[in-house]
Amino acid sequence: MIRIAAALLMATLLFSPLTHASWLPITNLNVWNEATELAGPKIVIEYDLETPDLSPASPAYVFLHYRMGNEERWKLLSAELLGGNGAGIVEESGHKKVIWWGASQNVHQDVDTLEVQVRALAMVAVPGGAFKLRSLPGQGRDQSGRHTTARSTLPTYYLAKYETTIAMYADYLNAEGQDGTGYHEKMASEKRCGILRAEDGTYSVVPGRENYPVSYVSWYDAVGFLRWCGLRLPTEAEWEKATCGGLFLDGDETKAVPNPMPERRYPWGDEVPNAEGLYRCNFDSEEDGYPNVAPVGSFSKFNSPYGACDLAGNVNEWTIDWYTTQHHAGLDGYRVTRGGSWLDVPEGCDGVSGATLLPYKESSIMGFRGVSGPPALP
Amino acid sequence: MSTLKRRSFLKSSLGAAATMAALQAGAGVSANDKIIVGVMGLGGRGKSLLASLAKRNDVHIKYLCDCDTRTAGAATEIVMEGLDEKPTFVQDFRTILDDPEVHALICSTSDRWHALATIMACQAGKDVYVEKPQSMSVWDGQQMIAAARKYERIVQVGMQTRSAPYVQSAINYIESGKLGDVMLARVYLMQAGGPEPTAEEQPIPDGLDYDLWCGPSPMLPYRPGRWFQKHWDFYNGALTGDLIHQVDIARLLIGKKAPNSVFSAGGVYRFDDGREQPDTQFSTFEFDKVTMMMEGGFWCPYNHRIVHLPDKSKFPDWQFSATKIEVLGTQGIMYFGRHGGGWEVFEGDGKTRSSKSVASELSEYKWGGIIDLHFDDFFKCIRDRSTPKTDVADGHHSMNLCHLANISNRLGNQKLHWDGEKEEFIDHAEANQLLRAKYRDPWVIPETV
Repeated sequence: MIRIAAALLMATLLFSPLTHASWLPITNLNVWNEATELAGPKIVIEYDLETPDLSPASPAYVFLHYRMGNEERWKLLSAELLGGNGAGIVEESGHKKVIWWGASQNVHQDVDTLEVQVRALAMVAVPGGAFKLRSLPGQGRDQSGRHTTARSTLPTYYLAKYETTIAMYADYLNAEGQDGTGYHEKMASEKRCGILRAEDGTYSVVPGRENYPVSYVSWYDAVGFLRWCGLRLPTEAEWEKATCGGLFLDGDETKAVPNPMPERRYPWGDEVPNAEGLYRCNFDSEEDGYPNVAPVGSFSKFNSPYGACDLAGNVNEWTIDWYTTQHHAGLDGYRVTRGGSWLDVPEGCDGVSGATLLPYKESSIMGFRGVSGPPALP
Repeated sequence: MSTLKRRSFLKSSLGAAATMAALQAGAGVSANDKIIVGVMGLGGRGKSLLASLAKRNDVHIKYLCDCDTRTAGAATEIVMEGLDEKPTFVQDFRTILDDPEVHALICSTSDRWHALATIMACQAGKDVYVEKPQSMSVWDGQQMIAAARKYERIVQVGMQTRSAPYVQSAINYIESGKLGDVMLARVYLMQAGGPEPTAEEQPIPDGLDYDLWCGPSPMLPYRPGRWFQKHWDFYNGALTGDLIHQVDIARLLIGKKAPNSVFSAGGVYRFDDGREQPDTQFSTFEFDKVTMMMEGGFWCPYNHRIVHLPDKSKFPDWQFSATKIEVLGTQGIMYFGRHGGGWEVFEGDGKTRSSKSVASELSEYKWGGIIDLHFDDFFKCIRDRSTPKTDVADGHHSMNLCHLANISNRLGNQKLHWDGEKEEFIDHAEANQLLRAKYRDPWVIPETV
């Protein structure tokens, strides 16, 4: 058995007091090679995932990067190549073991220099089944054609519990953005974002801004980050179901927990965000406590039926669906955005209304979160 | 606001507006003053215009307005990022008209509000930038001109291509006679398209003043989406609503004002989605010894808009240009590009049986570039009170061609004869009934502006 030095524990380094909002804490990372004479290298990656409240409904998504030899860039280790219980969707905390049957001869040759990074992200499960889609499908939106406003169905998928944070995005930039890809100079705004780029191409977070949602991200930036994680953007239908819930919150397989409000207007129900002096999300008002963006999870009493935070307000969220008109059929590539933002009126933060934006737009009101699930249909 | 209150508010607004206009008429803006504007309509087009306005240091965007409050956030962000100021958001555009500080209304709503908002803004003493298509009917356009002239207002219509710098050289080339005698102009909107889905009826969402949103059009049950664009009472049609750009340039290039006749062919060939307007429309306008042909179809994926071409440093492949304008003379043919592309003239050589480019002006524009130039012209005109490049009367005469084509289509593609001076069809009462749109009280184009 050849012991390999454990890689930098990036997740631990980015650990902050609001633990739920950044990468989940990972400790005791160990990597070694259990080479077999006939089958070649067998890389074993062990770590501890110490988040106490993981469950099938509220799992973690774990993704791994590796590099070896003199490689500068880290590569995503596809969860499909891995065995064990510690990659992809992980439903329990504790000690994890990942088996990577040395995927190539290169791994075999350079295994002495292998380095591995492990990161984990909080997710919520959205069980498969029917839901009521109230936004208008078609016309470029969700061109799968699977959905109607009468009744729609989606298979099980997992949505990031929080909007992607500044700390996570800065971590990504340090891994992938040395040439400036994915960075916009307005991200340096301490009031609305808070990522600084040094002359040597490294990035740092303005202290205290780690757990705010990243903004000034284009659709392409969002896709870049999520590809790095092995995730994708949600479709508009996925976003809406995660916000309002399916007809049964435990899904159509068991149908034990009916959704009391499958046509709710907001994640918490039908009350507007500031009804009766109670502030349920971050919209355009200082009275909600936040004149600009708020740290993710600040309104966690008003999560969606599945426990996802901030689907209403804070930053508007990119979806993978595009939008077009007859004039510009398929040409402009407007993308659908959902959820409203800190600059919207309360009614603009609902779970039904969509907006559209050109994908290159880098805006202080735009953010995103990822999905793990079946491929989104083209 | 209840309907009853709104009606009384409308009447009082119109009365007050006339007085205000009398006070403000002719009052220009000094060179050092910022021009104060309110932007009405914050959908896709409104945000495109805001992106241009937010780059200007000679403008103060005091108001953003939309009857759907859910549009406020994205529009506000554009202004805050560009000008570092936060406009006041209002749901009712009459708040803008009632503010004596405001110099101009930018109207970027859908079609149904263009005419009445322009007229009311003129009455309130505001200059107006109104998006195309400027009117829902010939009558709308006539009253818009009347209001602009009566209250001495600048009214610029959003056919931006007139502000492209390559327009005047094209006019000069044609006027020089080098193209020979111009006999034919052809304009195109032949591109990809798709069906327009219609969602189920739903409760009117919080934050939307649906009564105001419908405005002059019928207040049908609420549905999300663009279903309304399939109905004549809401919309001029997806074809003529965009072909107006090309029609306007062609009319400018051939120097004609009104046709003698119109004849349309076509109908709903492709998308059987309940639409009233054609998805395929070929119209012919006869002027004196010049004919204009307008070709529209939403089933041509092999054609592309110039603004979407990846390489704008060369002329588009004219054959596959979705929105080109062609001017054909006895010596050459001019291809003219909308939103960039410039123009190019080809002449034939009978000896070699070949044609070649003999004159051209290349012009490349990125998305929105010509909007900036059009606003340059608008704000210059506000300051010096000169006539804008797309004055409301120019827009009206071009829009009439679209209205005429649609009326021919609605009457079963009849050939109709037109009296351009009286602006009425000759001996055709049924067609003349369509010269006025339907209006929903109180949002009626007034007989006297």
